[in-house]
Amino acid sequence: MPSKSIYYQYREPSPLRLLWLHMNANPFAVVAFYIFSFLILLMVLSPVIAPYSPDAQFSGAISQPPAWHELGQIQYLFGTDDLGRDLLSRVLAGSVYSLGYPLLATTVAALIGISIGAWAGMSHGVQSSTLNHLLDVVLSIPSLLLALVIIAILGPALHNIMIAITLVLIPQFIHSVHNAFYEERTKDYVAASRLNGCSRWYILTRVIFPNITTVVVMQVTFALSTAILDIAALGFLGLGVQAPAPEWGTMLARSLDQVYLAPWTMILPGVALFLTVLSINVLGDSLRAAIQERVRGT
Amino acid sequence: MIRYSLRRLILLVITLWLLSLLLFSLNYWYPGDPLTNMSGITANNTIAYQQAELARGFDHGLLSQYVHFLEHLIHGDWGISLVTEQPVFDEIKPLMGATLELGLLAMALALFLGIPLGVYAAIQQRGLLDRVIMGLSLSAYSIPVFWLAQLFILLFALKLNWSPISGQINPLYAINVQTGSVLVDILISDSPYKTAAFYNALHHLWVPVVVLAIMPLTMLIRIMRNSVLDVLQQNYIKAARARGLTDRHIMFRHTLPNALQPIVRQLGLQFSVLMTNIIITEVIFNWPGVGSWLVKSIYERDFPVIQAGLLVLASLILMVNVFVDVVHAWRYPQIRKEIDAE
Repeated sequence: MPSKSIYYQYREPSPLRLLWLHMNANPFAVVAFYIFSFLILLMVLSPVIAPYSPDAQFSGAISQPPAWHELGQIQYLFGTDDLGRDLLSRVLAGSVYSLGYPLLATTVAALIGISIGAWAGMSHGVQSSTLNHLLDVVLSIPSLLLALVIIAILGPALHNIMIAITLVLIPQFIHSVHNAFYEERTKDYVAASRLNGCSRWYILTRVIFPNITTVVVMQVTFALSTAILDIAALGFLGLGVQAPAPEWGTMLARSLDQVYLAPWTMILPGVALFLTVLSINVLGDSLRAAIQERVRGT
Repeated sequence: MIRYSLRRLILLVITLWLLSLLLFSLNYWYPGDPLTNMSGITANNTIAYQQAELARGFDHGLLSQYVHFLEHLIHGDWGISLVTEQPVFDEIKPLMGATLELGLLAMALALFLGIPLGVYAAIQQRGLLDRVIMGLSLSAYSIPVFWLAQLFILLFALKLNWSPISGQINPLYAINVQTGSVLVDILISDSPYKTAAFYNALHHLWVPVVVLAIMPLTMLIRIMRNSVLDVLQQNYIKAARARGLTDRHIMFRHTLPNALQPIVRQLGLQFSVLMTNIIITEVIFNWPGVGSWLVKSIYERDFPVIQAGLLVLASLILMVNVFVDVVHAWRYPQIRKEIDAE
């Protein structure tokens, strides 16, 4: 059977593929990628692998220390909280609230924000410069403060948090996508397609968009870590996901009262939150580095 | 420069005006009666309610209501709290002092440590300490501030017993609250135990300040390191070296002033991050500042207070950002050229 590649043919990798190659060269990025994938896997499998139901109370094992402690029991690996609920099961079940819901909010915000940003980036003149200036200013107000105001209007509940976080993330997407479009629009290859008579829609989706995917991916990682931290912070303040739900921030808030008696109740949710945000931040950071390298390389 | 400053100022005025529009409309979006949300006077108090109705133009249309709202806002008449029934404007002044004290001290600490550490990491590029500093700064940047605060309480207050768990000062010292900033209050008070009170206040203060400083600190280290590395590759540094200047001279006279430029640009953003963290930290440490007051008012659905807290925090952040922009453009003319050229 003849080999398919008899002739040497140089194929320019696509921007996204090039980025992947750069990322693969960085061991930290690879580790972060595996940790993040592992967390996602845990989240998807959490109903199956959690040893107990997150709300099941064991009256015989209240404030049980972790298994390696001399008072600990192996059936409660990371101990139990003050109501006798297994911490490991709660943290696993909580990943749906603390990782799944931010993922959902980021996706929705990205879809809306990218559409508006692309539209603004394609329009000319005063309209887009006003938008840019306004967004500059709106973005200097912290997302948590805006989310707090929206919660004050809607009241604390899971679906209201989702609305608040999504609304808060949209301007960030508009801003970065708009800026990216604005930069690309004046480049020669876009002018060439325009001279070829491509329609606006074609230029938008097939000419410019593939070249700004990297910016979008980076913005998504950034928005995701913001969303995770904001949802956890709102939960911690008691304004987010409400108490019996095993959300990591809410669990931490509860452990604040228990810190004298059961310090282990604050370790596990905190570590989970920290690992999630760290892996996303490392991914985002190495993406940024890879993008810089790619820009320098071309 | 004047043109640029004017542009930023006009933008600031427009944004503050938009903020006032937002605050005004919030009164209608909140559940309940808009007039009560705005002034804090409930309909049970019939006479006062009717007076407020007249004073805030509620007998006319929305436009007149907005004009009166703005008038009240500028005169410092921000209504009364629904819970404590005290004027909101008088309540917020000492709270502001406490928040600013915490924020400024944390920012100062971050700048004081962040710049030297960043420079050090850059000089030792790819050395052991550079890796340690950069690794620590990336992980510290990912720690949620509320967990960090809990860990600090666990370590310093419970295990080591180095500091109290929460609060501003031991109430036994009976310091009168005037500015809200506890250190200033002690200095201007006539308490016979000034020094002891001062030490006690510092004892309470250092944990929240360190917790708050860590996030901006890690960011500043990273920015400073990258910026020093960038500057060291510029031609003017090579030229300075070719002229035979000492390393010390090159660092302090040529590298540092230029490397500080991204730091100045980032200060506004760092201040916004700091304010987010202050809201949470104040709640954890029971610090009597605007942040914990705002969060408490959301639990209590105290709308005049929510409004005032939002107004104060948002306008503070906006003003600091514009101020930083103007200072940045004033100190670094090359930025001005970029802005004017577009």
